[in-house]
Amino acid sequence: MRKRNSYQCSNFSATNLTRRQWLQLGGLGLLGLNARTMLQAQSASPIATVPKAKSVVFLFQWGGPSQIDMFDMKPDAPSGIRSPLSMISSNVPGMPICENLNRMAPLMDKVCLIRSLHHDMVNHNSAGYYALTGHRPPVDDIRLKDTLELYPGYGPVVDALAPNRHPMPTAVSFPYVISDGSATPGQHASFLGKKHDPFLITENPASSHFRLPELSLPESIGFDRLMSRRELQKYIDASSRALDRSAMVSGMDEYYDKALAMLHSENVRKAFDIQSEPQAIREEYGLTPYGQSCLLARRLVEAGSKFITVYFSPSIGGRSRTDGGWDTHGFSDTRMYEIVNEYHLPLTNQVLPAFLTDLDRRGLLEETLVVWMGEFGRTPRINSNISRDHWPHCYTALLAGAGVKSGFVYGASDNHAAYPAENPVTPDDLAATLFHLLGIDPHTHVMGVNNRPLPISNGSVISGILA
Amino acid sequence: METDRFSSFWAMKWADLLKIEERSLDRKGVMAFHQWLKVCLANDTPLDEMARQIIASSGSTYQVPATNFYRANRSPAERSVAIAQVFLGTRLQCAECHNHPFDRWSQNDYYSWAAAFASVDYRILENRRRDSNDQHEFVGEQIVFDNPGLSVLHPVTRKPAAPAVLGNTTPLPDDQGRRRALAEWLTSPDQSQFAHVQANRIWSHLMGRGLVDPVDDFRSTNPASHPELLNALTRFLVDNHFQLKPLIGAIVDSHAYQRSSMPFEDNQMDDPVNYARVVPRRLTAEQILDSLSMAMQVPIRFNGYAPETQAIEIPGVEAVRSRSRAPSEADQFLKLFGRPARLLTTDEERTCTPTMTQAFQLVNGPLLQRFVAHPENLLQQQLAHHDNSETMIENLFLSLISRRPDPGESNHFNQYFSQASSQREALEDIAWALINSKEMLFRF
Repeated sequence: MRKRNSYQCSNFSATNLTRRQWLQLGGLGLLGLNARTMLQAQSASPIATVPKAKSVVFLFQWGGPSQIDMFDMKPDAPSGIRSPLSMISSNVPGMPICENLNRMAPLMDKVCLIRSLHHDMVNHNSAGYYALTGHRPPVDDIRLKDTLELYPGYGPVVDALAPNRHPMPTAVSFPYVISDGSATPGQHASFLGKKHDPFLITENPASSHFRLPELSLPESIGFDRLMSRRELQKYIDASSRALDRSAMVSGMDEYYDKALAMLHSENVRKAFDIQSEPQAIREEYGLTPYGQSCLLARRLVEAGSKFITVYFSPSIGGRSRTDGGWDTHGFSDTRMYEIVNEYHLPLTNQVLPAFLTDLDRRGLLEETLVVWMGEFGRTPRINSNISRDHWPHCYTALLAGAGVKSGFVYGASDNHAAYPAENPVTPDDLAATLFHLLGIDPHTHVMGVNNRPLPISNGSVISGILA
Repeated sequence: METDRFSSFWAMKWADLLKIEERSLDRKGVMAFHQWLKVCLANDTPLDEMARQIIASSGSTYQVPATNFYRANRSPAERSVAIAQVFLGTRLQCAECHNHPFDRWSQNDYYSWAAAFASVDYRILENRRRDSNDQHEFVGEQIVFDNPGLSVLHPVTRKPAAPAVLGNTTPLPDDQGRRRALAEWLTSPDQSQFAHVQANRIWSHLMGRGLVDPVDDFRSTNPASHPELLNALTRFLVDNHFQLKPLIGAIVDSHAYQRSSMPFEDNQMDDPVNYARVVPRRLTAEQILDSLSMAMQVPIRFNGYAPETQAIEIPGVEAVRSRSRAPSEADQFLKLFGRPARLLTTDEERTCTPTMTQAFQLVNGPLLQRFVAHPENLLQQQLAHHDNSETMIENLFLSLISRRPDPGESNHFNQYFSQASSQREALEDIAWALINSKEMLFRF
């Protein structure tokens, strides 16, 4: 059932409408109701449950961090497979972690590990798309084409089905657009329409010049002058007021109002004003783009954004000790452990505990779900460069906060962290779980290109991790 | 209709459908295919002739521009779905995996039709792709030819599907003439589907909605809103030898086209189906950008094009890869306002729906600021050549929304001007308001 070869309509078999319902839909077309309106009616109220999580922060570890060197270590595996790094115990028995993540040791009682996440996409862009959308891409393609036939990212789905009623944007992504040769699909609203694209920030929150172009007016234009411009605009529009009966035209007006509200909103401005954060807290997170992005994520959670995606790096990286993602193959005569020990693990060891601690002490962890995961893990066998290659067949996702068990491990890998040994989980299931925790029915249908009804998730909620 | 803008505009519409973009076609192929379209449209080459040239095309993608259709659609499935969607207004995607839920197409129909396009093959003379990992990128000349040895396997029978035209089991010749035969069948007088689809698409471009809507979804369960009208338009198109211009002339002359967008007492709601009044549409990305640049007399730059190039003239999507150079403000503007990536053969890939980011771009985006604040723009010229505010304001109205201010507006804006501390700033504010007005952004 999971395996789907079809390119064009991979979700038809998974639609949960019966044949009879389809026939009814077709027949109603003659009465002026088409499938689109019917399905919209069906999903008019996608909020099926009381949301356990007010917000989700998705910390996307681009490049693919290693399961076997971090949260699923196998010290008894033979050399060549087991990590050269040592394992230490944490504050939860059965949840040992890598020595280089020692600051996580006192926090593992806040965390839920899924050690049996798996899929079959070995290329970054296809796997990345899968991780960002919860939908298996039609092909495993190193340069997967970013077409409107592919699914939207999580944030846009949330924006379409459960949008905020206040000026804070529902879905926000930063501080990069990620790519591997070509832009990774799954970062925008795709067929849901550009109006559901996440609010994208590509400025560096660690920079002293950090400001959002959208929320910054030129010096000569204060908010008052902008408002008088808006008055003039309304004056002209008054002569074409009859146009407002068109939903599209009045929609544009709403966007102006929202844009000006955002520009004027103290709450919005404050949320993005990371410079106002006490220096001590900024330093807890570390003055790196990733650290400050996580801090910004916390500020946006406080201000009411619902789905916040933080990208670890813009590229898959793997050869640098100072930037880039987790893709440590040992190419160009580099060595994985020299790189991750110096860059990725220390950075993670600072930022992730700081973020969880900060959320927790503000009481935000109870209503915020944090998801930390990459597009895949890394090969159990250490390669000839003393490094590890891509491994989607079994890897770890770390969750913490609202609605999930804490100090808990779900699923298990085999002796080499190579394949799931129990309770296998796919990105589809994780997607269903995220939507469920946000109070959105994972079986809700949305309309794809050519009016095809598509479920927002084909997975099953992982009930074993629900608190 | 004899202007260059006419052929540029319709070439843009066709380029959207025919996937004219640089990653598959390369820059030279994009230029060749687009130029071919433009010449066809300027000369009013009959649409059936254009379709035949595309479907039956063989040869070099540089020398025979229409072969770029096959260069962009590289599998039998892509080709057959594209031909059905563009020329027959039929969506076959569902039938690849299962019998179509809303239509008569079965999986057998699908695979026979796909098999009709199985023989297309490529001789790749060179490929200087810059990204060796990108199997979708081609840089260099290719020869499109028929290789009779190629076939499509039916997923159930696991045997090669017998090539046939859509909805007919008569086998097609399996020699070199197969695509010629397909082209003749598709455009033959007794195959009225082609003519209906083209007439409907032209109507849709002009009226904002197809009589069959969406325009590429003809089926018995999605009938035309006004079948007699569609038949009449189709007859007119056929009688006029499938030429675009006579039909456009006839539609533009009609009462239906010339209706006002103002609602009457009894049609207050959006009622797009009956064309009782014009339903407002946002201008395309290219139209907005070109008209703002022209009206404000501030030049725009696109990566990879000469300074005076207008958005509507751009043949492809991304002449300079964003990897090697950041897109210009104008390039970004087009993307933001819905210019399609041209990866799909559907009219739906281009979007004209307003978004929040568009509002931000028009409120305080960098390009908008440049139009308004440029030191040598329309506003500066007004200040240099006129000394009364009435003339200046009238000229701003005329340049941006093609009408004079009514007495109330004239009063209001002149008063605003006289009370402002800076004349230049007052004009900037008025220009901003006109640029952001609905009359600027929507056609109605």
